[in-house]
Amino acid sequence: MSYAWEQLAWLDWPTVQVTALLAFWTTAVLLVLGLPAAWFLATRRFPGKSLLEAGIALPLVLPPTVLGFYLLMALGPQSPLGRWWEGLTGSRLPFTFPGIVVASVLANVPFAMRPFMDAFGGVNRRLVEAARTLGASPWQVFWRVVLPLCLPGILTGVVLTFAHTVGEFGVVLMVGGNLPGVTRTMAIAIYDDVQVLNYTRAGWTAGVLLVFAFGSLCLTYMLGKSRWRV
Amino acid sequence: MTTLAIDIHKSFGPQVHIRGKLDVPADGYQVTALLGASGSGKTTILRCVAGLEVPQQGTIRFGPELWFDAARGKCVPPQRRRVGLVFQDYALFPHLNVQRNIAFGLRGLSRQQRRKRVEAMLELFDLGGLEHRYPHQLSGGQQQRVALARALAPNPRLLLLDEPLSSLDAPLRARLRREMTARLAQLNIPVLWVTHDRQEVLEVAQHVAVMDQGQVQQWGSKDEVFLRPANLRVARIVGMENLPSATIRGVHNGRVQVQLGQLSLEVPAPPQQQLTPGQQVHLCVPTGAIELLPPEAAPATAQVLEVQSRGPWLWLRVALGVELECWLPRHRAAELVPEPGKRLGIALAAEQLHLVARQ
Repeated sequence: MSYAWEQLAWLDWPTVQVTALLAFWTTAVLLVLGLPAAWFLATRRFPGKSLLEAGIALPLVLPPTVLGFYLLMALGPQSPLGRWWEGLTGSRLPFTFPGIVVASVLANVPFAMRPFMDAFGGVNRRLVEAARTLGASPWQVFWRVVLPLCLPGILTGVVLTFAHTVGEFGVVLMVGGNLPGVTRTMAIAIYDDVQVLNYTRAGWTAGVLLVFAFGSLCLTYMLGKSRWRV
Repeated sequence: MTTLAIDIHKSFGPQVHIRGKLDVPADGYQVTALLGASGSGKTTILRCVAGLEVPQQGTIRFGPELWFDAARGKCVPPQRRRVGLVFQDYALFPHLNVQRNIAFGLRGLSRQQRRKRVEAMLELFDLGGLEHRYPHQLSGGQQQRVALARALAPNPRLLLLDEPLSSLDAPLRARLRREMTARLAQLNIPVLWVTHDRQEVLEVAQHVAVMDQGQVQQWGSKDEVFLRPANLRVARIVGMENLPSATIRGVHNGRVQVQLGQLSLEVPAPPQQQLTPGQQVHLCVPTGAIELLPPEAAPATAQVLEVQSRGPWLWLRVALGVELECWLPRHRAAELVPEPGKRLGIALAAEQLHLVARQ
């Protein structure tokens, strides 16, 4: 045990902290913005919906460098968005922590939205209608029927987003660079360590990420087994 | 007298139009059945009454209350209509146990009152001991009773049933029909019952509306609709076995002289129909209006075309210029010995016959 603790000292703790904060903020933003958006997408039909759904899935297949490149252009001081942010905060987005949060949110949209949408879309419409005829307002229906039934799906989205952000590499590197304690995440640290032949530290970091990723996936599969047969 | 007055038009795209005009008596316990084949639009009418579907035109009134008026843009949302609805698949909340399913619609009550109400419902629907089970742990019949208990617990002003028995096995269905109506009668709530099963209508309903091709074709008391269908479509839907062609010979004093094959009959004139001598019509001849007799004891004879044993009954097809189906109880078969080719005496109860226009 003490051996393991000694070895954990090899970990670069500021990097662990940046990684955890990035995963936390990415998940929080996607939960707050993604839930209403997923509800809208799962319950409405409108022209161009397939295009929007394809757009949501895009980060799954796009090389992270492509997404990172466009983000760098979109957030940089030459773009209107970049100038607006600079006017607002006095600092630029690329190569800062808020910058990698924005990039990571976009890269993780499918990991949060897909489970949310599947959960909302899977709710039997009759249950919502039954609740309405039993006197519940739309808001009460959401809290008393939809949310409890969708909780496993929502938690799956949260766990997947958090786990995937912890392992994010390409987009963060493109937009955030590699500033220790600011934008360097654990996945980037492994690459750096290997470059300077520090295989021991790279190995420990990789091991931690592997265990974390596997544990997270186990959790999502357990959540996927619904308690109720619907 | 309270009435649910429905007069609506709902369309789904340019092809599908549902038109419903009917009055549902809504004083105390009485069952109005909405009878029609699947796809005839009966569930749409029910959903419009519940407020789950919004018609494009028309009005829905419950007594003095206006629930829907397309012209004034008024539509009371489902949660404020105070109607109970039981879906065909029951739609029980899978994350709540029996007790909490039943309590879902109870509000504005103290803890004590809620528990009392739930207990009363568990008792009435014979669900004692199941209160902590989840829906997937219940049989189909139990789920159906929970769905009814849940819909009725908040004491709705009207109960809407969408094919409430169709997902159960036939023997269970027959027993549950009687149990269900006995329980509903205790609660004194009017019921609008959607079904495609005319046997169900005959057993449970006092009033019927018949739907076909997206339209309410006729509504009224059960006997009126089943014995005096307004048109050929309704006659077929209510299960009129014999609809032979007949010719009008004359009309006088509310009686119509008709020629049915070799038989000349005087039948009651249908209201609101212009009839002229020589006109071809259909005569509704319920099997119950046909009596088979020994040839010498009857005003006319018919030739037997086909005989089938149907358990305690014999089913016969006979011809007297037109073909008719009829039934003969087994004990009378010994006396009449019906077999193909043989002639039997036949008498029709003229007062039970009814004319409908040709289409």
